[in-house]
Amino acid sequence: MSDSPRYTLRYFDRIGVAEGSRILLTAAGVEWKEEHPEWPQEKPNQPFGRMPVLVEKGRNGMNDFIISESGNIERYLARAFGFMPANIQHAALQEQLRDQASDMFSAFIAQLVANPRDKEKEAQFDNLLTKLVEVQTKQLIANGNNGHLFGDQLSYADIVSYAFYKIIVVGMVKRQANIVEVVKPKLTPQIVKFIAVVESDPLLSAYMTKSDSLAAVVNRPTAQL
Amino acid sequence: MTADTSFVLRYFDLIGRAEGARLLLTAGKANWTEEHPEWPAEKDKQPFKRLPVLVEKSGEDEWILCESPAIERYLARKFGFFPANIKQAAEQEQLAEQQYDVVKAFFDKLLVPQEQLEKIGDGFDVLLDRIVEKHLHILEDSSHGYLFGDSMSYADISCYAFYKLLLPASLPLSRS
Repeated sequence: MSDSPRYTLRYFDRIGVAEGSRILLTAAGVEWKEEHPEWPQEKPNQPFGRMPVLVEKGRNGMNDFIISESGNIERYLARAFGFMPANIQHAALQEQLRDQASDMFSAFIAQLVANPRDKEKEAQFDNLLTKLVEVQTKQLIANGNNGHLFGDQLSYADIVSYAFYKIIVVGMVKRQANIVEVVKPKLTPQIVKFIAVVESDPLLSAYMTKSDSLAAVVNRPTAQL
Repeated sequence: MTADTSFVLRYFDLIGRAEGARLLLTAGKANWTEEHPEWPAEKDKQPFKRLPVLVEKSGEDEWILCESPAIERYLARKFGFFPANIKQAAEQEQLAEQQYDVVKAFFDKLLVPQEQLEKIGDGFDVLLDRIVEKHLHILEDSSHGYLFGDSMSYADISCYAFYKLLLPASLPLSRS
């Protein structure tokens, strides 16, 4: 057996759009490591000049398998390790949620970088966040309010949906000081419970003990269900 | 696919983000129609208040999917344009994702003030050069003219849709 992990995730040393992949690799229970390439010096060495990049070491003389694009990496890992349903309609419903969360994050960035402040962009972020919370809450309730979006085990949708809240509420605090006050009041009790359930999943304990807690930020003393 | 499965694709009367879905429904020989909802009058009726929306009808049942990338991947899997091997699938999806980013960068270039563009990441010109180089590089090795394998795949369809959207729209921005 080789002495270095089969999986390497290349990204910046921050939460960013790699978080879903980190959590999926953890949930998969495989050995993996993270690299923080010198940037922008190592740009030409990446398949598309950008990160994150996943490197899966080739076995039996095969080439390494290298892919880019955070959403693509997440879906690949989810399929490789059984977190994506085989039924393509069920998979599509889960992927839909991730794509929507990603759009919400893009809108967040657009209003963040606007200078001067752009009320229209802030409204767009607000609308997408509100709609996402509404759709996720409806799905959590329809699924029996067990803290999972689908079924009763940690799924791809659970992981990536959690990751996007973490990217914004924990990851972006340094860039937008008021972000917790903006997002937290919008979170329904079902979403607060969902965050707590994902974070405390035994599959994720190795990662969550080393990482900032999103649940700690969003928990409210009176959250009751 | 049962004989009575049909699809409705709701979008604007534009190439936009729906072209990949249109091509996949056509290539998949699906029974499908397109609707152009009154906008913004019908916004609140859509699950995410946005378009495109795919409606799949089988007998009495209706199933609804949103988000153009999810719609494309679902249709590609349903009609067999995706490889079963998940690594090969990921390589095709990687191209499609990069293409979406190029389109987004194109609209950013049109709509976002210059000084904010740098904060968003690599700009349209850089991303476009890179994806074209990637497409050409893959095609050099292709003996049949397809991006992958010897028959039309999801990657071919999404790449075609990408150029169809971008070329007419971006000519005023071209540098040559």
